[in-house]
Amino acid sequence: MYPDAVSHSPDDQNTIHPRFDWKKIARLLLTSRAMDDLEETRFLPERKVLYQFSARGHDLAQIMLGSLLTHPCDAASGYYRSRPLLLSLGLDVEDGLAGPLMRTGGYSGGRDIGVVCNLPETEGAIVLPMSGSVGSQYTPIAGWAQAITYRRDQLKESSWKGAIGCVLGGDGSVATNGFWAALTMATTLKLPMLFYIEDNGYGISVPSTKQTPGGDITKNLASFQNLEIYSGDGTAPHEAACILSEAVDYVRNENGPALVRLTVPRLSGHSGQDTQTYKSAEFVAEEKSRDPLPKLREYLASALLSDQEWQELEAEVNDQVEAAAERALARPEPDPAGVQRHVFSETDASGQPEVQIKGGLASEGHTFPPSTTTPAPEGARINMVTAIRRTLESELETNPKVMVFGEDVGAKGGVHAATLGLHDTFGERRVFDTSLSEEGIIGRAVGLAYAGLMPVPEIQFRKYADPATEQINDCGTIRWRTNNRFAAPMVIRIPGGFFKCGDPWHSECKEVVWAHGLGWQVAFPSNAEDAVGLLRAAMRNNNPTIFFEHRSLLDGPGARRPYPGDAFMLPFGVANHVSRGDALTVVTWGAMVERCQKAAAKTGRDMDVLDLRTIMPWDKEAVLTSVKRTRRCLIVHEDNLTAGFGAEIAAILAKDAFWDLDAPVERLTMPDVPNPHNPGLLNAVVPSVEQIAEKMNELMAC
Amino acid sequence: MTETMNIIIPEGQQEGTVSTIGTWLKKPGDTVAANEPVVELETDKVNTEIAAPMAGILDAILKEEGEEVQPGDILGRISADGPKAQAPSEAAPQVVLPVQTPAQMEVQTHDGDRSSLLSPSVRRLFSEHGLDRSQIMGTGKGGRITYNDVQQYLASPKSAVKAEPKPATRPTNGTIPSRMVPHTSMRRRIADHMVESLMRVAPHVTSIFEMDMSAIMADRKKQKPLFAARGVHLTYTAYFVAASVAACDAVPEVNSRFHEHAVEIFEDVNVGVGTALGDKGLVVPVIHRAQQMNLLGIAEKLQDLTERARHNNMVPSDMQNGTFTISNHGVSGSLIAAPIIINQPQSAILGVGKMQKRIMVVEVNGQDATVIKPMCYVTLSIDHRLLDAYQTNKFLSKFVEVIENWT
Repeated sequence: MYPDAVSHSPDDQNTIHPRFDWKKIARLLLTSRAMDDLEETRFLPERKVLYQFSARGHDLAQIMLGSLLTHPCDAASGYYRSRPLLLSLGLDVEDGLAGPLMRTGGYSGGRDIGVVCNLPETEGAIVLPMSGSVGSQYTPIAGWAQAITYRRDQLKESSWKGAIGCVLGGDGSVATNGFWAALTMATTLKLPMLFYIEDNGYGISVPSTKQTPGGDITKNLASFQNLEIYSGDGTAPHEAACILSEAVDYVRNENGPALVRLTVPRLSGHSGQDTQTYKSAEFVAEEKSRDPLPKLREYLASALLSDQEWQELEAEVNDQVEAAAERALARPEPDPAGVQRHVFSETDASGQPEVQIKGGLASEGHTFPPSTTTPAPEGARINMVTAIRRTLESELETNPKVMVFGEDVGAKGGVHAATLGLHDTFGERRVFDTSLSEEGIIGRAVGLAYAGLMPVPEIQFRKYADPATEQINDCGTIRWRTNNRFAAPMVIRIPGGFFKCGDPWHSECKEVVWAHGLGWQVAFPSNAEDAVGLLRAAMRNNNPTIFFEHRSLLDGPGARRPYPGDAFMLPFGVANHVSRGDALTVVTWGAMVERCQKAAAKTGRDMDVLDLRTIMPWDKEAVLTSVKRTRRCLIVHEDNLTAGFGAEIAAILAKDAFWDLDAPVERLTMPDVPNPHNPGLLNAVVPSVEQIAEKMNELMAC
Repeated sequence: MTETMNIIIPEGQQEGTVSTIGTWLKKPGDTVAANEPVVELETDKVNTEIAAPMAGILDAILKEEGEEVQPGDILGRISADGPKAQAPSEAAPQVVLPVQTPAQMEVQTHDGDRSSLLSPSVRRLFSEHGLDRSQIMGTGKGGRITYNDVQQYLASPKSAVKAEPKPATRPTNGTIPSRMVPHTSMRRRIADHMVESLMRVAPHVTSIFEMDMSAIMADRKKQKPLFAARGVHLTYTAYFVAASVAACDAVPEVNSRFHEHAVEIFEDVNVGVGTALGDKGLVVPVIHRAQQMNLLGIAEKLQDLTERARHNNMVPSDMQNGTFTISNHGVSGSLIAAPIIINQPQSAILGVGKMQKRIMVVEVNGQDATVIKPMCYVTLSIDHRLLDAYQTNKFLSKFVEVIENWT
């Protein structure tokens, strides 16, 4: 479908490269400049645009690259200086101006900065939601590239053949963790991924020699295996045309990843605020001389566009941009009434789900086998870890879009044995080991989710989610900041909590972090049956979920239950009454549930013990109903005290149950220390059955 | 022009008797509905409530708790739209916790006396039911009043008195350890009355007779099942009431009231029967116009009054307009009580002692013989201003005759 690149020597600077629609490119370049001018000279001084990023100097090469991304299963992702690329992919000018003007419509309906872009529907490549965090754009595109291979080779969807993932980054971004994580993935897995580095020599004010020795990343990556490298001048129309078409074709033809680095001048400051005093006058003059716009004009003058035609084109473009600007200015301000919408997947007034345009299973209309909230336990009790494995298995079987991955998840079957045997059954494409980068694991999952798959990544231990924090946080806000254009549902399985000993690295809980983080559901089952119900529900849900697997419960006898069946699902936000009584309300979850049950028995009093099961959402109603009856509440959790999730529950009770309370709301938790290794120290700080019973009695007697 | 109405003691509730303000159920600034109770009065050992004469806002309180009031007194004012000055609301108990240092994990609890701590749910109940702390015993830690304590108080019969406050240990003048038990209003009233009656009004003299109970015992044995079949419990007291009526008929001067220039002799015999309420004191419900009743009628009325006394359901008229009083002191073991203090403004009071089998000497066929008989001492304490030994003994003779010859 795509011809091999026609080889042109650099000497043929004046030969018009046949691959490109140059008139269109000229038009797009002039459009981009007109938009930059408009913002710099009018909107920014008038304070109508508050964050302004011009793309002068970068524009020509981006437009050329964009015009090659024509496969309907292509995806691109960039950063704050990528508007020219979006124009070449079909961005409507009015929409493009409305974003920085913070109006309704456009990328985010005023929720995000105007240059943080996304395009869910184009004729060629879609544009994945950019993030404001530089470097985070890389691993999702690696995920998309892996999705291409999956849908092409595993799901046998021929429409995905020849598609690529393309990511834009500046010379500063080659120092970021995300760049290296993506590079590792792309090259070890030979993914159809194109890295496009626009090298303007500066990351705001920091020169590129600080980002890679010598400033030229291609020289330093020269010996990197499985990576085809191209380097050149992004302002020379012909040279850039040759390099770009060659590189794109290379990747499309399933040769593996490629990296293109084109030098470009940054003709404006970093942003409208930047006066560039760190650049010498000579440097600035030299940059100006490299402006690609006159170069393109000259390139096309003899063969395609006469001077007159160019001027006419320019005038026409200016008029169009002016008209688009008026229409953009006339757009209404976004309605504050809607600002809280779309944090999670929502339904409309008639109960129909309001599905995002792109991303997840729901946007492709996936249907699931029937499910039930009634458990059908069969046979003997099994460990929670076995139940988790069986659930993964049944979902892998019935949903071909499920992928299970993480460190040691494949051949070893997971360090906790949760994925034992799955690799053998379902194969390397579906159940696999990843490189040792949690940022890479989660960023990749985001890309897979955008591509319509259901990724189930594992973070080996709770503490190791730290490097993935940026990707996790950004994933949670995708729906909100794109105003429901995109979403990336997934299930991150995270083992944690104490085991026979503790330690600061393997025994953390800190589930509260994601309750506070936006857009994540958090499940924390206390037993094997609930684990099945919640995991299956998460894997069929249109929101990203964190599924916490407490290590002492994975094979603890107290958590064993018979397998409740392949159709069993539990709704989120519904607590379980482990016991009932009027003397006290105990709210707890995870490994503390069993301890609370035993402690309650020790007191000999009848009390409500509520296993929350999920932290986000959590069953406020059940807790409030119980406390209104018992008037006393004890919250027991393993996470340390200060600002643990118990604090949130206590705050809600202090407000909504104030007039019903007959005793202070109490929390019993680990103190504010990391988890200790020595078992004696561990048992001294994690709430024990005796401590819980004592606290219960104290509260009931007060 | 704001519409206001006075809160006054309605006619018919307080005739001639003294009342004190018990508890204000509302405070100035509170909204009240028409007929909503606003204040409790304590009268003649019965509490009553005064309701708001109209809907509005309690404007002012003019009589404070514990103040004596007469019929016609204005207790307070309700206005249609608001008080002139807000009375300061009672400050909630301040619970101040020390600032937590990072090392301190435990919240400072209130040790010791926690009786003044009111939790939110308890405060809500107090406000909903118009209660105050002194009414309720706390069984929570440190004496705290718990939600359940309040619920139990609300479920128990409305007491005529407030709950006894916890005795506070105060230093005594001398070296004897002691505790102070503050007076209830009933105790105060009884104290005043006794001093007044015995030491200021009436010179008391007591005459002692004895009676053979055999006849009424036999009669009671016979009548009891018949009365029971009609839902009436027959007690000995019923006989004493009946005998009193007969004795009053024989000696009308006993059924009277001393005035400075005359003695008022009543035509109705309204017999009050002293009824103990355990530790709390004594009430005297009255059987009005006993002269019109037969034994069944007396027994029935007695039962009704005793029931209601025990369940705090009496109304003021139950205890008003007595003309004669009987004290069954023997029920608790005393043989004779003398004097029994006259229930002012009456002229005499009858006391019946404990029944005791004694050996009596009787004449049988001219010979002295000893017999065992169930005997009771009966006394009449009189106001010697208007009664002498003659009327006294005539009264008692008749009384004893009726009892011993009952058929």
